[in-house]
Amino acid sequence: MRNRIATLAFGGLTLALMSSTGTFAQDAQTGGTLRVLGTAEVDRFDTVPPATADTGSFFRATTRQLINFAASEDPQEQIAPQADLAETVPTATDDGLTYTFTLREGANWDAPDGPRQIVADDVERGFKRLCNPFIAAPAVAYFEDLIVGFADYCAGFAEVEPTVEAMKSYIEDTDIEGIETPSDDTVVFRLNYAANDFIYLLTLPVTTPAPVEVLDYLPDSPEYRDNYISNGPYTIESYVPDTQVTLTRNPAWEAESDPLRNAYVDSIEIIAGVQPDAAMQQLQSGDGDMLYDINVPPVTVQMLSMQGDEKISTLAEGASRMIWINTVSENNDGALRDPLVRQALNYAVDKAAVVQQVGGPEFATPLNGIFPLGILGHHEFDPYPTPDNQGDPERARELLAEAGYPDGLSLKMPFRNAGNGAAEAQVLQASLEEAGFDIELVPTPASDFYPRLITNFDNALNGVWDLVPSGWSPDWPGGAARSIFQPQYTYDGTHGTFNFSDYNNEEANEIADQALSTTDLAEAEKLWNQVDEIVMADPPTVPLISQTTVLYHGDRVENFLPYAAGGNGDWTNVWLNR
Amino acid sequence: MAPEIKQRSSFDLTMRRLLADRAGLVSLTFIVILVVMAIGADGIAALTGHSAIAQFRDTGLTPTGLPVPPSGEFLFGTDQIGRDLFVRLAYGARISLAIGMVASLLAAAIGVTIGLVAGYFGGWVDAVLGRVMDLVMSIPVLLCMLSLVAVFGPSVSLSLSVIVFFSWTTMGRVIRGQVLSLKEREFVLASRSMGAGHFSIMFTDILPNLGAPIIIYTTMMVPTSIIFEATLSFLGLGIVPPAPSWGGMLAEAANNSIYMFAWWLVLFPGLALLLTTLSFNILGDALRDALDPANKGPKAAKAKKPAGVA
Repeated sequence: MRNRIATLAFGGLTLALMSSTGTFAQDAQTGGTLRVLGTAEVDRFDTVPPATADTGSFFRATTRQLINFAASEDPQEQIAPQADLAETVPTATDDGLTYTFTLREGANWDAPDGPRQIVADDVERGFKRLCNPFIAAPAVAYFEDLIVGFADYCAGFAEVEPTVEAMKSYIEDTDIEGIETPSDDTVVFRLNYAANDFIYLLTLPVTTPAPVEVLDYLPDSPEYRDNYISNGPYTIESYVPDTQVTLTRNPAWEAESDPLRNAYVDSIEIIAGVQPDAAMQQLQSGDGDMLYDINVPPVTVQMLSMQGDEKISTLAEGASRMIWINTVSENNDGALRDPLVRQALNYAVDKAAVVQQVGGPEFATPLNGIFPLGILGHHEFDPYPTPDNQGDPERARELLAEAGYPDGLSLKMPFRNAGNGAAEAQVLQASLEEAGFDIELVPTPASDFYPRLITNFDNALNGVWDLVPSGWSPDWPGGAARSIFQPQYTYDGTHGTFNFSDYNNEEANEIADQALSTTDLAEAEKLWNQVDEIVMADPPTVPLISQTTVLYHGDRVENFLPYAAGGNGDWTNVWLNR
Repeated sequence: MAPEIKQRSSFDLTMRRLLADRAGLVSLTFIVILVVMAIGADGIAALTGHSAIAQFRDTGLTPTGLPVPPSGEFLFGTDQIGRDLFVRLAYGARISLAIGMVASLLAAAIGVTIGLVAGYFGGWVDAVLGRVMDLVMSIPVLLCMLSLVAVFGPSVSLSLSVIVFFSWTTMGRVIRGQVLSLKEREFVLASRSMGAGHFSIMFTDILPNLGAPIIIYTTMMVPTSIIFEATLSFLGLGIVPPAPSWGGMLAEAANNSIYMFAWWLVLFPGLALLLTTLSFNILGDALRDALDPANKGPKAAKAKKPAGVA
């Protein structure tokens, strides 16, 4: 007989210990080509049409706005509005209804006939393009009621034929009453009501001024792209669809006129079609420098930290994940319209498991309201407390029974079949099933999930889905409660793209209005807290987690400072050490 | 004393030849083990105390959500959400084998019927059915599957239908060719001269002579179907999670680069898939050798004993 020896060979992970080369007190170096790797290509060159959040990094390099954020490692500084095209950040006058901006001298357009100063009319023209009938900016909703006369202007524009000529003449002949341009370097905004986040709104890429030449092209059309006019430190050198965008220095840009961008590198290549694994490997081998739309996989981060890699940093952008509940379909005889059932869902979900799934506390914190960490308005409260946030199936069952469903409910939950989607969906399914919900998972290709399934309201009405795990990042960082509340939790009769089941609560809307108009930020915060509590009392969603973005970059990248509005390191402030 | 001469049945002979083929025997043993594992998946789950979909978030995952490697509690380690990989492999075997077998049998039935009809009748019937086969073979399978799933949503029955639809043609062609030559043989002519109908000739005279190719090609179709199912699941178009399937398990391992940390997530399902398809292929070869000794190739020349004599 042979002796059996059970050899358990657990080759511990070979940890390549990298000797960290000292990179202290290095001087900034100019030159080189920054290679940015992404899966999808840069989706928009024009700031008007809806774009993904990742495009923020691209707009940072090629466009400038009145107000912007500094790239910084300090979380407070990351979200502090700074003057960009404006000379200073103005304070509101006239009880918060008037904002007067002076434009910075030397900030130029890279116009076809040579550098040209950006003037007040360009700023107004930028706003005028927002509600063009060809392809409107979703963010126009923030400004329409806010700026005096903007709603009328847009109503008129809606009547115009979506052709270049008709739109050009409307834009040139019609004024927005509330945007005044008394001189070339002065812009005055008049508001219908005080809005304490107006300065933040002006950081949005959609507020980029527009030179007169762009009126000759349809927004973001191939002609627009061919005749791109930059006002940032970089401009487009070449573009191969689905493959690569190459940025080169904008000759019209003057460093003295730009306090926020240093533009160390000579050119930037944004390469599309790279899978996350390959991108991470290229970053580690030095073939790539930064990531575009790729999230660093949690596993990789943990392996990198085990190896003592110091190029990992984090950024709280106010991103969150939640489950949306469909309250408009007739599935289960409209059971989800019953607040008790929605509260049961809130009790059922094991949020701790979701946190664990995305990589632990470094990556996420359980969230119990609509405002995540890092947003003015976030506060610790727990309307549906469960032990250690692990879910309370007993309580959920009680509520379900109380609502008249002692045998539970069958619900359809499509999920985005990419990245962490499948794992997250199965984790949610496990905790919901324990509480008596029978969850049917429907894998949905990533390219269909948001554009075809979720944002198509017919699918909600027809009961194609009952629950969807979804995520949200506000359009700007910091004082962005409005950018979470308005698009998702208000309904004024016109279906909003991101309010998946037309949720509306008049009481919450009223308090939100107060929170927006008060000049006292501490009071605003308290009011937003109330809004959060009101919404969660009648929950349209199951909040899951506040997310932290983990950033990583290649070895030769120095001065990697997070730019909060781009959700990544700032291309215009990094330099390459070789 | 003259050795005892014993009459052996054809089945008996085939089995003897099959069992003499060592590679075939090993594959057969592996397949039997796999079948036992698939049937006994519930038993395995009961023994380990882990169901296929239970998530062991305390013992099967680190606090930061990483799967744990193979250990006493989890023989093959856990997956990215803390489920027992071994139990999932066993249940995955169930789905792989079921889909593999059912799809091959269905495809064989369709292929045989169409091949038989096309070969026997010839003429325009053959032409039409031949073009149908060409048509099916020329459809890009994955593209077609992608669109179907987009319309109907992924499910086991859809996967099965697609696999069957795209795999019967090989069988159809082979059978048609065989029938073309068989129908000219004397016993068919004899039958016909005695007034037998088409149906009777096809099923009582020709079909029994097709036994060998049918068995061999059906066996060979099993691994193809299993791989096909794994491909579909890998692309997220097959089995709907949380039900385990080998392709789906590989896809989950590929997701989020988790395989770079957890080698066991790739190794075990990959190995299972590899060994299963290899076994079925080797078994198919062995069956061909056993069923059709005349066509045995170089090995046959070395055979010392005349067939049928022990």
